[in-house]
Amino acid sequence: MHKTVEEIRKSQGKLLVKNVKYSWDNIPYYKQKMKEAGVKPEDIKGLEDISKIPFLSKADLRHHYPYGLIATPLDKVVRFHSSSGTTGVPTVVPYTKKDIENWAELNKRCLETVGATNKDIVQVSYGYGLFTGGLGLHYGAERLGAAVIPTSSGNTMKQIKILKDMKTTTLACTPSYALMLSELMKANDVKIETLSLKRGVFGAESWSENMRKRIEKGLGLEAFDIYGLTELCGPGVGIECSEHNGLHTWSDHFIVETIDSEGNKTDFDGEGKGELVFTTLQREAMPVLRYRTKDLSSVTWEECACGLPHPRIGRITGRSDDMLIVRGVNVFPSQIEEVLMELKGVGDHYQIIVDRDILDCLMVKVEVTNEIFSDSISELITLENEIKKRLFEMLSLSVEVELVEPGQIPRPEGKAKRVVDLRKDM
Amino acid sequence: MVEQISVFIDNRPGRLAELCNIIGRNGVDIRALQLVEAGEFGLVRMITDNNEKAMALLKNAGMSFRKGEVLGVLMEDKPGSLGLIASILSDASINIEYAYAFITKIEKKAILILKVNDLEKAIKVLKLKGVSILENI
Ligand SMILES: [Zn+2]
Repeated sequence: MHKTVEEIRKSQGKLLVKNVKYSWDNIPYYKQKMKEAGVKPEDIKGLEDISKIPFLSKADLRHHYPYGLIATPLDKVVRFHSSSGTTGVPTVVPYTKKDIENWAELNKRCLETVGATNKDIVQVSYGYGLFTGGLGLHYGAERLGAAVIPTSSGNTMKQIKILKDMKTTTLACTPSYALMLSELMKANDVKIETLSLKRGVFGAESWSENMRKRIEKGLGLEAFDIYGLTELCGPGVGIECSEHNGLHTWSDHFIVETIDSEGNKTDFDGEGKGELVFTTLQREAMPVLRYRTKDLSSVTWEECACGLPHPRIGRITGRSDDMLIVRGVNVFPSQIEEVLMELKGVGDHYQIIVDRDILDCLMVKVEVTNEIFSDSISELITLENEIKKRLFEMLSLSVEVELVEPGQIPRPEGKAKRVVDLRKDM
Repeated sequence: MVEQISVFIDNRPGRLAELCNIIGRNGVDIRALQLVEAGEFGLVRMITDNNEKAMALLKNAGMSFRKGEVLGVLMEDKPGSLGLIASILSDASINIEYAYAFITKIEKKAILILKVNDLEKAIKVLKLKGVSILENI
């Protein structure tokens, strides 16, 4: 018998009460924040009280770099990971032995959800190291009993050879890297029939449905979105099931909420759309309470056809801090990707550049692949205009489009640098 | 009919020279070349003495290119030759999409490269008028 939503939420409430008390007792900064908000642990009696707890932001974590928010003595910590500090100070995340085990369990569940078993061969092409992607999937796949090939990212030709020779069935990497693998396979006439891939688990970046189609076609597999954040543990927080209609987040480990731009709760009783906010329920070394992810998505508790009782988040549609404001118009890079991916041969490699002349100007560079290359200048200009037209329809903003040679846009091996905002340098 | 390779390039200083180097440095001779610009990008059309090798070099350099067939015509290197060929084609209602010419080692002869909308027919009418069509260059 599956638990009802009510039962699940009740047990989440119990874990929350425990976790709030634990955080109050062990993390001075959390205690201070709650005091400032006028909340004591005893005020939190269940899930319904969660909105009384103040939010935690990335800035809070950064200000306590590196050891300021650890709830346990350092001798209980067995591992650190760190998020890529694109803005300077990184966020350090500690794990106890138990945290590592739980994390492995979550990734094991994710792999099970996408149909992997101990018979599978899992190639982990996420980077290994401070970045959580590689080791997260690695431990999960091992816990599942699958055979892990820890290739890490990079050395793509060798990776293709391994995919082929070792008959990898399950690939884990970023979606950009998956696309790069498929592109290189094509360029080197490696047929997908020579591979044994069944599925791919792709995350650490937001990616569009069109990109999914391309990866699936290019690698001959079923692509699943996996969600995670270093601050919460890394990958394994949420996973798509075979319904491909949202990502289940493990309700015994996380409470997921959505909030609007003013910080008002919109999940459960509300519309369910907004910025994702997570609370961990079982972490020892660094529990987080109401962590604002800046990821824009939605939450639903509606029953899923796959039978998993865990609530689903929608695919990430953008990040609130990714949003570009160009001439007063909100632009999400994901919207641009959506447009590009609709055009055959366009969009695997593109870059969005925002600059300011007198007004802001938005430019999209698109690499001309062999597929779209034409010997006729007028056809190329038509293509350029078609992209402009479609971007205008999507954004209500005129966009400069520049066709460039293949290889002019950096090939990401980790996270893609799709957006260059030159206005910030001014 | 002559094989031609068209290459997409960024229209920036030095890029054409780089392209020629990619091919030339590896022992392939570019016999004829035309650059067409359109703002930020350009197209280079070329005829080489070893198209297979040229394409392998381009592929290796990661460039976008395409092989196509064009018409190669040997004509007198003197005023009016081009006009004569153009009028033969227009009389037969054949459109010239683009053309470029270059002089050859053969004295007083030039080679004209033509992209037409009906290759077969163009060859037929030009041959009828005694124009020599090149199989290769
Ligand atoms: Zn499901």
